[in-house]
Amino acid sequence: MIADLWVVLTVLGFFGLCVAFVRGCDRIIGPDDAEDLLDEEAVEVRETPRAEVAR
Amino acid sequence: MSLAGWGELAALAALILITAPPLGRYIAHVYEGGPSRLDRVFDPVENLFYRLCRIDKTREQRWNVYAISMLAFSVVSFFVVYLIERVQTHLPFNPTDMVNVSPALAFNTAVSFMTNTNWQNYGGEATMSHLTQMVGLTVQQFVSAAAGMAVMVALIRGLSRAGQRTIGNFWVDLIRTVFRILLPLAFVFAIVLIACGVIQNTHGFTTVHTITGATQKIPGGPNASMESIKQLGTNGGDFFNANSTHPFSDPSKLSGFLELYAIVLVPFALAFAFGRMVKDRRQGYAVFAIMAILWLGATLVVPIVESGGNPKIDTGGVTQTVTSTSVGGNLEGKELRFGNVICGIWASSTTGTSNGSVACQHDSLTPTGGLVTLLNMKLGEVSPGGVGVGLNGLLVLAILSVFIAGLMVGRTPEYLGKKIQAAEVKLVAIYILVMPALVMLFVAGSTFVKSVLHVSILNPGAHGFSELLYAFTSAANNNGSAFGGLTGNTAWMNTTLGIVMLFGRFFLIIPTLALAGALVRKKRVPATAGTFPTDTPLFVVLVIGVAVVVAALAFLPALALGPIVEQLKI
Repeated sequence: MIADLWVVLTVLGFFGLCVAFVRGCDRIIGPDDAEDLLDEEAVEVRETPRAEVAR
Repeated sequence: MSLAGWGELAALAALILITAPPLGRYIAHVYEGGPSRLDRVFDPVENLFYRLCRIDKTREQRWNVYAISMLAFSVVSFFVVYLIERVQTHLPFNPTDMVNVSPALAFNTAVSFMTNTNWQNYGGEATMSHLTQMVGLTVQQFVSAAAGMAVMVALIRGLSRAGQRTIGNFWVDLIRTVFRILLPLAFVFAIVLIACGVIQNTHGFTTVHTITGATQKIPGGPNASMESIKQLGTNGGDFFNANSTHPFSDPSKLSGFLELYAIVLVPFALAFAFGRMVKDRRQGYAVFAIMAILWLGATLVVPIVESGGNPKIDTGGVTQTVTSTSVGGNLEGKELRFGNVICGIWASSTTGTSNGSVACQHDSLTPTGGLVTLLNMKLGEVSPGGVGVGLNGLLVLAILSVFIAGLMVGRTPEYLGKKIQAAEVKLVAIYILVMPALVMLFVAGSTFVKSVLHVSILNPGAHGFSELLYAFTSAANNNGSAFGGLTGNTAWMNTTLGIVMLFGRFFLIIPTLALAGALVRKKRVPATAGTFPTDTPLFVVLVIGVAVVVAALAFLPALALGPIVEQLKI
């Protein structure tokens, strides 16, 4: 039972480390800036003025 | 190499060229999620799972949520397999009366199958109940492969989408991969294997009397169903200890050839799927060319050097020339039904993918043959790579290559219209460094451990070092093949190999998903005269060069202490 407990703790500890690693990688890439994102609504908003200018 | 050997290799290459592109088209269609005639078959089953697991299939995830979902799935998978192993004697479907697996071995095995490694420190027929093999290990062979493919498709979405936040839904990708790709392929291939003579039954041991009057226990079990996903999912873990040299797993030259084909089929098909998903098939052809050149290079070397024989064997008075009863060459440790050619192609393919099944003892390969198998893994298993994770590795190398090319000409590097900047390069650097660091650290540490020196390592000197180097390289790359000789079922080896497998899997997958998350939000920049084209022969050569240089820089000193010094001593 003690050995099983060690296994459980080791694996949970490792996955805890993985979650910390996810956070670390998230810090490397930084937050999602709204201006970078280009969803469909944003495309429409940005493209309409350009189309008007062209006319 | 004989004419028949060249014929086998040519037939395999032709079969891949004919079947990989249509399979790639199908895989791309599955991940793009468009309507299909097969929806009527798969939708009800998948929807049932979505309802049971409360998954909203329309809701996509940011990369970190995708990663946490994958981690949560993996930790649950681990505990399910571990628990089954630990209490198997109390569970049904145990006709061979197997006792519970010890904690250290159960840990190693559960990690091994959850990480798609399939390193086996046990003999399947002498350790695991039929239930453990089916519900524990075979299920993991499906889902761990599917998890790797899910990560791959997330990275491809990162490259193919622009200005977005999400990279897909892990649960949807996992379920679609299992039901629409792996299960149908594995079902058909299992039927083919049964037709070839691979066993599929529910028997325990059958006691028979041999011609000489002795008694022998013949094992039975549901093997073909495991064998098919073992190869197609680049898993490699066998029902039997002897792996694919066992006559119940690989009964004939035909089954050997088909299993070899199954090892490389999906990885090669993924190159074509990639091309379709990024809406530029030439990119897929370039990736396929990189995979094929690396695979073919290694695949030509091993059969040729093994067919050439080992001069040390000549000195023992054993003939290695071709006779009416022998195919000649270095036949020590070879399965004679397959000979040097299938063995050589297999050794190269199993280490170029993350498969790890074996059709001969890699321990008995000539030093050059052993060096090639080690190099294949040290390249990061990209020739053609494991299902999903291999393509990930190759795309990471491609990004590193455009970065290096950008440094050489002084321009901001781009890949598929995405600017490669500091964040992406940091993640690539982490990805590249994790595996060599794991191998070096644990091999060096293990050489100080008494149980490793006196129990685990079989051969003294350089060959013993190769055994150890191979074991940790195999674990860190989630390959699972064993060099042979090394005794792995000790407390140290079970624990350290398990830890290395965990880091080798998740500390590569997490930066890969982060890379996908960084790329998916970038806008696409139009190609200019300064853009380095990534669908040309020059780029193919550059990526191969980068892969070889990275592996050589990391591992040349270690290889010099093992197979290189062995070759020089011959």
